[in-house]
Amino acid sequence: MSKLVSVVQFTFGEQPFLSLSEEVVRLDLVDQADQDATIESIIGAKVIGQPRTKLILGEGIILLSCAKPLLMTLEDWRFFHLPSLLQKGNAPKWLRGAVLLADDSAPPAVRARALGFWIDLHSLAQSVTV
Amino acid sequence: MSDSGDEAPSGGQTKGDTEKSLGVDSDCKHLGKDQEVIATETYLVARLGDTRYAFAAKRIEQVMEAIEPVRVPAVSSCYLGILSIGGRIVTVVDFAALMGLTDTQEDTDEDAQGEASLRRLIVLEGLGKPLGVVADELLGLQDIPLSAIRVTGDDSSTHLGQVLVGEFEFNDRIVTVVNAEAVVAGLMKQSEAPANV
Repeated sequence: MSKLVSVVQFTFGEQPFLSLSEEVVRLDLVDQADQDATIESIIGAKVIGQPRTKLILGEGIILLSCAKPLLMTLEDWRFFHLPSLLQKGNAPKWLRGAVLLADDSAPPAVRARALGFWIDLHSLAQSVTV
Repeated sequence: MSDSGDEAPSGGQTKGDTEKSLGVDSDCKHLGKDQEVIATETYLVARLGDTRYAFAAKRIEQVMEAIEPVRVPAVSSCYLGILSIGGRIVTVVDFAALMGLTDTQEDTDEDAQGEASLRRLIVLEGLGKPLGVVADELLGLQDIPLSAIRVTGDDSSTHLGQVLVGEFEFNDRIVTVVNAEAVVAGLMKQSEAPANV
């Protein structure tokens, strides 16, 4: 699949996540004290690193990320739907799939770490009580 | 045993019955001038924890060095994560935990860490879908006569009974035969359950 898209990349723990930049109206840095553990509990990743960031969606819903988001474009990106074994009852519906963030010819260990998750921010926000 | 190889290997079961129970389509080996036929199946024997499992070689797409999969948020701990292998996303599972045979736990003791170099990822194919299983150690490919396999998967009403379908003795240890297609079929059935998130 060859496609050019504008995305926001952010991380929970060390795991990269991506969402369409058009779903985010504004990005704001927030104080450390202004944390939302709800996201952590849903993502299931230990949140480390600074600074934290507000992702403000069109509907005014605020999500917090643990790292400074990266506005980027993905060219020739490869998107994978989650394997059917993980879909429906096993994976949350806000998880659209996985994105290969590096060259597929890279060594396997590097390839493994280069998978990011494509998130439906609106769906994620709906599953969070803010 | 006749040339057809359809004689009962044990317990009154025909070769066809045994193959069906084990989820395999066996090879036949001709031995000696009498052309006696022995139905065999090639299995990859692997150690997962303290248990030896046999996976039909025909159901194995590839074996590779075990690398840490990318954990998928908010899924059961039976799913270790996903990997990009050869341009496909492969689901990696904790097989023993998936079958409810043991609790999922982190390897924290020194012995487990010392065995890390022996770990291999076995990519199985079932119903056209790849499935990764992490083995603590590979014990080799073995041609096993079907007559040497005791069919145990009689209780096909349970997922466990459909997956763990037989056993044989190898190096004085019992090896449990796994039906890879049944593993995938069970996971597919689970995935059709109503979403809980």
